[in-house]
Amino acid sequence: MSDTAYRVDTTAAHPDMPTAEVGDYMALMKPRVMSLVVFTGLAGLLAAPGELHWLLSAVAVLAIAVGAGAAGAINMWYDRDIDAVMERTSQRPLPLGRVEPDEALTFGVVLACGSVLLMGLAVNFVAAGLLAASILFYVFVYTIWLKRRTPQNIVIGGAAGAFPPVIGWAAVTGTVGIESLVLFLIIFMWTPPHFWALALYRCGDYAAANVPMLPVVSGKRETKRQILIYSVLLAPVAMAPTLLGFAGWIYGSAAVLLGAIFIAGAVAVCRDDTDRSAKRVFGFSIFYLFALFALLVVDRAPGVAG
Amino acid sequence: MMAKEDGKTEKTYRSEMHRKQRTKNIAVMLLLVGFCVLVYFIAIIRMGGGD
Repeated sequence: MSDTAYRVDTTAAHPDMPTAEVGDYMALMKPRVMSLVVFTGLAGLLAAPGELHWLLSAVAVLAIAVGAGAAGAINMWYDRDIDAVMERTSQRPLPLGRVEPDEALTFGVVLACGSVLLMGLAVNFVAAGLLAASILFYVFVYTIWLKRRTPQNIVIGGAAGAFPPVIGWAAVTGTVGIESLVLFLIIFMWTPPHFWALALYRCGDYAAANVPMLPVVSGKRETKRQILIYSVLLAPVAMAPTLLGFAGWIYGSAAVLLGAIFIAGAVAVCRDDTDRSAKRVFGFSIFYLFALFALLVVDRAPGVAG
Repeated sequence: MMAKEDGKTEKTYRSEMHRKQRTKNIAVMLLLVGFCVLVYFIAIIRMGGGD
């Protein structure tokens, strides 16, 4: 290309053209969500019996992280209209006009395909298939189908976020065992009270964007009741690794204690007319999941050690 | 005077745009190089029967 042609090209630049920075692409990948996904995926990988080369383990975690980020980018592309309305999401790169919608979609699709291929070629195709399933589930089932249609969006859609430990487990073992399904079930049962606690104090945001979250459709009272029900159901599910013999009693005792605190928090939410308890439960729920999976790795039952 | 200020703004805008573009290009280059190195080591491990 000649110098003249280059000059013509740059002069044609429109002052309103997007000027995305590297950080904007990072933001598209929802780094906070990614951290939880990476942690639970790593926990599944470390808790699994068997051995995987350390570099391939790192690649598996990288693929899980990139796959989750890709799904997040596609979600932001699809939800850019409601993200612009909601206060919590209005500062994302797409509502701010820093990244073009087509660019965000391409970014997400390329990363999604790349992460699945990398997992398949470097680790195994069971883990790659599960990673692909989790991305497709998050995009098509949760984002496109459920999110704007039903207050059960979080309940069914939560399955997408429950995949990482199963993928981590499959990366090591090449299979999906009952143990990894229990880890899936823990996150599946944890997701509704976690997101409903957030929705309780962000209710106005969701209503403005016409997203049928439970507090918007059924009211705060019913949402609080559902948070309590799910936190009670979560407690025995969280105990299952010890009861099934693939975690020790340190994990089991902690699961009982953490479960009791979670239930106490849910009771407090039911009794509290302000948003304070809901905020506390939301914060605690994040700690709960991190603590539970960390302890699962630390207190892996001796017979399971690979 | 106005035209001069506009010219300055335009120049500042372009230099900012080019800076951001350069940063993006470097990030993409680093990612591609990193990816190639990663694939190389994965291939070595897989060919060596490491799993």
